[in-house]
Amino acid sequence: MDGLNASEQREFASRMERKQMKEFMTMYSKMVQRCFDDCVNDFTTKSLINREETCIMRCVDKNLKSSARLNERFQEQNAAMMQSGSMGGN
Amino acid sequence: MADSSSSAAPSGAGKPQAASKPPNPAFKMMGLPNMRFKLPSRNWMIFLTITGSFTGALIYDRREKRRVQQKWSELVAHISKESLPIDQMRRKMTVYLAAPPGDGLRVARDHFKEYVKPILVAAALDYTVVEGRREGDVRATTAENIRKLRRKAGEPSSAAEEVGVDAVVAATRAHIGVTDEPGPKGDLVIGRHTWKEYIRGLHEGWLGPLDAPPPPPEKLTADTSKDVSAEKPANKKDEIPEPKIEGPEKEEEKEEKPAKPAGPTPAYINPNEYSSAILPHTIPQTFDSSTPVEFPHLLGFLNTPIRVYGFLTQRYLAEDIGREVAALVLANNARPYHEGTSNIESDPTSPSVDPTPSPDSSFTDLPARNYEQQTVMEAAESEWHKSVHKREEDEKEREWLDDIVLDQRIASRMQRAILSPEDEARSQRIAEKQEYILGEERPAPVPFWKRMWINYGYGESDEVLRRKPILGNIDGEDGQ
Repeated sequence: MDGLNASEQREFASRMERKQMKEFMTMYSKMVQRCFDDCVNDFTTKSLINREETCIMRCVDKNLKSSARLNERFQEQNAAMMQSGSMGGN
Repeated sequence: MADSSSSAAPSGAGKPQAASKPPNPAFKMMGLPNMRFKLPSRNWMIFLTITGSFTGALIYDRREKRRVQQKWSELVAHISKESLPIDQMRRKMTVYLAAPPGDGLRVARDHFKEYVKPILVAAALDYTVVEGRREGDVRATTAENIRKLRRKAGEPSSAAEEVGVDAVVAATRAHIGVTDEPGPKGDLVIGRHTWKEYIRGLHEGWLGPLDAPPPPPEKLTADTSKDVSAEKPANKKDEIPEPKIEGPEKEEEKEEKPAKPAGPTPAYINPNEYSSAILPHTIPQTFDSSTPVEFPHLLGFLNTPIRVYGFLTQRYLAEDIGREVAALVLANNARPYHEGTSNIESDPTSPSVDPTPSPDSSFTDLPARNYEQQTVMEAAESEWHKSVHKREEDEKEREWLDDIVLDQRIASRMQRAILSPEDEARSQRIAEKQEYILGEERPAPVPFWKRMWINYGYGESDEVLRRKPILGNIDGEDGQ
């Protein structure tokens, strides 16, 4: 990353951004798919019925919260690994 | 044999009658012999009665046990339904578990898994287990945890805080803003032997020194009883020069420690120094409530009948343990341990001293028996294997054998979780199937055949049915 000139760095950054965007979109569409499959099952009407709506809300909530929690645990583990790595290095 | 002949007579009389009846033509066509009902022979009867009644008792007991555990699980299950904010960690119980006297840790773990864990799981609680492989382990760990707590609360200590994974994780949590779930935690102490160590560790942690603190009058005490006796006169004084003496000694001990094989670190304070110890200012007004949990564990070949009885009456044990654990999990009712209950018995050999601050002169010679904590699960002690009761000559401390010595200041801070009368009544109603988990309806029972049809046939359970797409009339007119 240090050996890049300005234009290359810009290119790198934009690629990283695109990659992250793609990852985010994948996650999002996966979640939508899952929640749709799990919750929406009444196709006799156009609109979401009440039960489906609460189900969707809960589903999204659960997904987001669990990934947030997972993220927290990852951070902790990361810190712990850094610590043990530095201790091993000494 | 007269008996058998007389019993044979009526059966013989019955025979011609039965034989006279023509056999079922269908059976006859199939080539089956003439089938008649008769009692099996005497030996068979004995065999079937014994095995049958044993099996019956066993099956009955396990069914009842399952129902009892179901009851306690349902009593606490509403806790698992509450949602927890993502920046909070689940309430964490501490389970104290030690290998029973004369046996290994595995038995204790099995006991925990069998009776305690189902209820913790039903309430979706987190727990840490403090395990002790040998006598003193639990005491040492408990005390060390309390000392860590005290150091963290800002008490001065010269002990170098080693940075473990736990500390790093805790620091990261503080950094992210993750906190513990508010609410009481609790201590589950399994078995009398663990209970003794737990009490001892509690005292050691709160009353004992933090390694080598410069200001307080204490010292760290030694690994051998010889050192204790040598140091004791110095310890008692609150003099300033002491820390100087302490310095080299401290280092000495530090060097020794890694060389030692893994054994519990010796206690930092002696029971007879409790009353002279100064309470740290970081001590809370009340401790988290604790719950002693029974752990019957009888060894020995001759005790087999008693063990068999226990084996066939596990439902009572499950009931008792379930009540205790549920009380701790619900954590809405706790009482301090009774004090001054009775002065039941005196054991002249016991070296304990009365820890009360103003001891009654008549009581001073007797072992102090006026705390509930001392009598908790006391009967279990006589069940321990005799090899455990043997005391060796030059032994240091025997946590399991020494009497429980309590300091009034610590004892009065301890709390015991109890089930509130409302919860007790609710558990009763749950057992009678009138109620279910709080805020939920008991699902209608699924008949056996239906369950089989769902599991092994083409049936569909309600949940599956609910998720099936409802398409409506696609082929009809309004569908197009």
